Order: sequence, then C-alpha cells, then structure tokens
Amino acid sequence: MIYNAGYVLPGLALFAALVLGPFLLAAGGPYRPPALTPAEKGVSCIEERAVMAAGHRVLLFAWRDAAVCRNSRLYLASDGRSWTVSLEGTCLACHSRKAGFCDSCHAANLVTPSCWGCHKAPEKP
Amino acid sequence: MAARRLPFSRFSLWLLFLGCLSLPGAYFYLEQYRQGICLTGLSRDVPWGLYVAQFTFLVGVAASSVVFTLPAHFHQDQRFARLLLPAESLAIGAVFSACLFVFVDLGRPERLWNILLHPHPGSLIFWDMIALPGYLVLTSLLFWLRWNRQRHGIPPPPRTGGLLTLSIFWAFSIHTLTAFLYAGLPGRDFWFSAILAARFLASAFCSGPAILLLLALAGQRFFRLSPDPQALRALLRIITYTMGLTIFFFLLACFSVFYGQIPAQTASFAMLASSSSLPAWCLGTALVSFSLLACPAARAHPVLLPLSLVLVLVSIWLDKGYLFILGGFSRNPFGQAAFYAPSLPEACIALSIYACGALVVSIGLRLGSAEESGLRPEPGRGAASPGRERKGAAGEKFR
Amino acid sequence: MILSRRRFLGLAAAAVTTLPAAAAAAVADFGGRCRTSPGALAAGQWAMVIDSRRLARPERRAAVIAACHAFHNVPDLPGPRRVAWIEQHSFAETFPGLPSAFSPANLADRIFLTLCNHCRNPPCVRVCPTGATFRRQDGIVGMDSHRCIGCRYCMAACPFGARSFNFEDPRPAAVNPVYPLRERGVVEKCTFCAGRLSEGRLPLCVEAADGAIAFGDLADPASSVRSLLAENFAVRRNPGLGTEPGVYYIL
Repeated sequence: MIYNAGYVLPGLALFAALVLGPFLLAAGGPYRPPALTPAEKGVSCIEERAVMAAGHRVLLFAWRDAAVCRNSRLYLASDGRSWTVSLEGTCLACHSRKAGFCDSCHAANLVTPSCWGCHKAPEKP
Repeated sequence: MAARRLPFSRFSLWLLFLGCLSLPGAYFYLEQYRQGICLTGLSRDVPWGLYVAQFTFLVGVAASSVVFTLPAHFHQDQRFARLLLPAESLAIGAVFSACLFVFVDLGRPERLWNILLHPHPGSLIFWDMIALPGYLVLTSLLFWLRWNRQRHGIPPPPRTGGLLTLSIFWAFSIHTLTAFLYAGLPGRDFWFSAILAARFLASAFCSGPAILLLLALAGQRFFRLSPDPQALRALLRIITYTMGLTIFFFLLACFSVFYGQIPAQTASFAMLASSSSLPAWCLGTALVSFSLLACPAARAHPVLLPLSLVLVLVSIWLDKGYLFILGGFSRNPFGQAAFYAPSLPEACIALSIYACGALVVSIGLRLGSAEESGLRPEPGRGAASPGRERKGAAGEKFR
Repeated sequence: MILSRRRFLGLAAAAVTTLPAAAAAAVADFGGRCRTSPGALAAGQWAMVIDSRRLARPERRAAVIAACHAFHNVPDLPGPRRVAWIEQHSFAETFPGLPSAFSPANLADRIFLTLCNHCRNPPCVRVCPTGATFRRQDGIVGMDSHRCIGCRYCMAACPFGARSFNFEDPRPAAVNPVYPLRERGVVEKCTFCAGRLSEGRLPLCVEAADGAIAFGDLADPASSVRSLLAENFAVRRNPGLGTEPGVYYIL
C-alpha cells in the first residue's frame, strides 16, 4: 500500500527515465576511440596494447607504490624485457606528445587523472 | 500575543542567522581549497594554528558530557539525568565542529580516506579518525534513543545502559587522545608533559558545563525556561572545583619549568609569554573567574555569576583554543622565535564552523526541551507561531 | 508482510552496507613484477658526514643547495613559508645549547648545512597517520607525496625543522622534466636522492660538495663515513632526544 501513489509512481518513472535515458539513447553503437598520436620510437610498449589500454592505470599505481614505497624500480614485463619504473623516464620517453596521446583519450572518456599536477610532461610541438 | 505575531518563530530566525553566518566561511574555505593553506597565517615554523586549536578546545567540550552521563548512569543522580539531553546536544555539536575543523586544516582533504585505507596504529591522528566520528555516532544514537522515548513518556530501553557506559569511557578517551597528540612529541618541550591529559580533562570538565550553565541561565532569563535549580547548583560546584584544578595544574607546569630552568623549556614559555598580551589575559581571567566562583555572594549574584562563567570560558578558550598550540611552536627547532596570527579567511572559516556547531546544538536543545529536562518552555508565554501554541496546549495536559 | 517504515529503512541500510564489494577483476599482478634495480646502491644504514670546515665559503654552500633544489623542482619561496630540502643555519641555530660564550671564533661564525637527518628512530614516521612518510630498511626516511594528506603532524613532530609544507602551488622557475613536482597541500623533504641511489649514483649534494660531504653505509666498516667518524670527532643535532639522526657534523 503506497500513500500518494498518484504522485510517487509517475515520479519514480520520471526519475528512471532521466537517469537511464542517456545510456539508452547512446546504446547500440560501438565504442570508437579517438585518433591517438602514435609513440615516437619503434619499440613496442611495455605490455600488449589491450593490456595497456585497459590496465595502464593499475600498472602506474603499482609502479608508484613499488618505486616510492618499496624502492623496486625495475619492472619485468611478461615478454621478459625489463624497464625502469618511471613515468617520465619510461612512458613519456616514447609517448612524448602527451596532448595527442594521453589527453585526447582521457578527454574523450571524461577522465581527469590527477597525475599531471606533479608529473609535468615536456611539451613538444 | 497576537499583535506581535511574526511569520517565522524566533527559533527559525535564529537558525537562519546561524545559517547566514556559515556562508562566509564556506566561501573562504573554497578559496583555501583552491589556493592552498597559504590563505591562513600558518608558516613553516607554525604548521598548526587556529584550526587545530579549536579542534582541541571543542573535543574538550564534547568530552564534558561525561560530567552528566557518569553521575546519571553510574549513580542514578536525577539532577544530572534531567540535563542529559542538553548535554548530549552540546556534545554532538562540539564533536561535529571538531571534525569540521580537522577537515579544513588538511592540505589534501580529498585523501582523508587514506587514513583508513592505510592504517597506522602508531599515529594518534589515526585513532582520532576512529574515535571522533565514533563518538559522534554514539552520542547521536544515545540522544535519539532517549529523546524518542521521552517524547512518548517511555523509559529508555535497557541496552541504552551499555551504550551509556561505552560513551562514558569513550568521552574520556577522545580527550586523552587529543592530549596524546601533543604530549608524545620529543622536540616540543612546551607540550612534553605527563600531566597534559589531566590538564585537558580538567579544563574540559570546566568549559563544557560552563557553556551549558550559561545556556540554562540565559534560558531562565530570556526564554522563560525553568531549569532545575538543584541541577544548576551541582553544575556550578563542578565548574568551580574544576576551574581550581585547571589553575592548579597550570601552576604545577610552571613550577617544573621555572624551578628546573632547562633552557629549552623556559625559552618556549618565555617566548610565548612575550609574544602578546594574551597569556596575561588568560591567567588574569582565570584567577578572576575562580575568585568569583569561589565567593558565595558572587555565585548568587544575577550579574556576577554569568560574568564569572563567561570569564571561565574566555580563559579556557585562550588557553586551549589558542595559546597552547602556539606555545609548542613559539620557539622553532633552531631556537628562533616564531610568529603567528590568524588571517581573516582563517578566522571567518573558524567562525562559520562555530555557527554550524551552534546550529546543531540549537536544534538538539530545542528537540530536547522535554518534560524531564526541566527546560520546557511554560505554555502560553512568548508563543509566536501556531505550532508553539499547539505544543503548549498539549504540554498542559501532562502537567 | 507489513513492514513499519523504520524497519524498512533499517533493512535497506543493512542491505546496502553488506553488498559484496565489487569483485576485483582478475588483475595482472603488476606490482609483483617489480624488482630492485641491479645497479642500485644498497646499505644497512645510510648516513652522511658533513665536514663543515670545508664548506666555510658561502658560494660552495650555495652551489650544494642549488644542485639539490634545481633538480628536485624545489620552489624558491623565501620567508616564513619557504620550501627547502637543505638549508643553511648558524652554529647556535643548528646546535641549540652547544655554543658557549667562549667557543672558538671560527666555530661561532661557522654556517652549517641542515637537512633531514633520516633518523633511525624517527618521530615523524611514528606520527604519520597514512604512512606517507616511512623508514626503509636501508635507513632512508622516505616521503610519498601521493599519499600525504597534508595534516602536517610530521612537521610538528620533527625536532629538527627539516620538513616543508606546500602552502601554495609550488611554481619553480625552471622545471626539471625528469623529476616530478609536488602539489599544494603536501609535505616534502630531503629523500637522500633515493632515485639516484637506485641508479648507482650518489646524492646530488654529495657530488656538488666536492668531497666536503661524505655519504655511505654505517653498517660497512670500510665505508667512507665510518673512516671519517673514526678519525674525527663528529656531533649530531640534539642527540639526547633519542631520534638517532643519520647526519653527522665535523665541527
């Protein structure tokens, strides 16, 4: 038994429509990632593209804790190569055009990482 | 009565006033969050100032609810049982404001959860993070349980007893933890004293009841409330003795410092005393207020009694709410004198947080002005809204 | 079953709080793949010996400080809100209580470099609520600016005034792109150049001091610091507090 059902139920329906509306309207199309500036050097990335695209945030957090807290600054990739744990030294050495690579994808996905407040990438034209 | 009818009750206007008082602080805090703590008067030599001092003072006021809950629960003292709801309102408002003061003091408040995500039991701030919100929840729960049943005239449920016992120990703990924040730091000679927790508790048990007694006297004078005179007498006795203890503990600290004559300790005392006239005011108001409280004629006087309570609050606030924190930093680790004065944004934020706390306390006092507290407004007097008249009419039935 | 409103709200709150935490997807263990760099310098207890006699000239001290601050993007904010990883202080300021009216003239005028002492029993580490400052096994007291909440308890606890807080957004004149900055609201201090040590290089102040500052392992009897301490009388700042500082000064 709902009191004031005449107001509550239409209100709930309106709320559901407002909240779910954007998802329903946008559903159906495939995700088209923005055009990204490729990395400068010919070397392939630390891990596979799919792993990096999905997990670079977790990777960087793990790198942060390993380097700062445990002083473990050598990363052994799954293909056996070893890399220095450093955002500026390793990642940004190849992906030096941050605006075309990091920022364009983050902006398209409405992600605002707080990393750039301290880790300043050299801006190349 | 009908001729002076206002669209809003006086209480609503009071709440609105407090709400408006919180706005400048909210604006300045947003600015402080955007620009950084540079907006305050803090510096590399004085990293803690007005905010942490107010936190210290307010945790003391919050802990003072034990003055009421302990006799009421352990000894069934009905004089204090009647004041439990107002005391718990004060405690809730005080601990809420104390939490807000800690929040505005943080350099990166959005990372507050790191304290829980990466717990470090060796740190007193970790324990404060648990103890203060826990005390807020506990006191709110106790208030709600007691108030709900008082509304319907039912005695509190038996499990309240266990929660009350917990809250008594918890109240002692929060202020002891606050004292431990300072008393364990090796480089700060001004604070490094075993008696610090005892000093804090003594001044806390003086300031909290003094606030409540002032509110009761104001209610008696301006709002036609009728608090129980026995309860007020007991409160006054407690305030007098704890004020004496506070002064005595301070003199004990002075003895160690000035008889022992260790340069680090005498220097920090001397640098604080010479930094401004406030230390003299603090000691002066403490002595004057204690003299007034100890004098029977002054205790009975309608003007001198509130004055002495105000002086008690002034001296304890100057001590715990300002000078104590500065004393730890007045002499920096290089032996130089450090200077601090709160900035305007800092003072506005502090004032606004006090307004928020006063808002919470006002609502609690209003809700709690029920039968047993003795602070129930007499019906038919000063009623400005229909709601009040109805309540007054209902109250008449139970008299 | 007719639920009272109170019971309904209570059940709803209980249901929300006991919802199982989102099952963590099978995340590759990135952290477990990190190792200590092969060329890293290791020690049982890092320590520093500063020969104040060899740093009597102000330009030498300024060069040491500039080497550190320039690389680590320490902003130049003179005054009460200064940020400094390494500073200069007089004899009386560095060692309060040590000078007397009859101290030798060259000592009374001596200027000392003060920095974080990387104590063996650090009070700042004890009081940090998040573990943003921590003591490593090799004796370095590290600083994690990512985790710092800016409570400044460590600044109150440090008996040596070695820590600085970013009261505003630090804007160094020139940004070294290889090293990150810090943001407003976090504490910073000397890190004994932990990053350089893991690459096999000595701290910047040691290199810039041209022999006036020695840096080595106290646990290694053959290290430079041990031989210096055996041959010279060296003092530490405020040793009676029991923090066991790791920076020794040859007067």
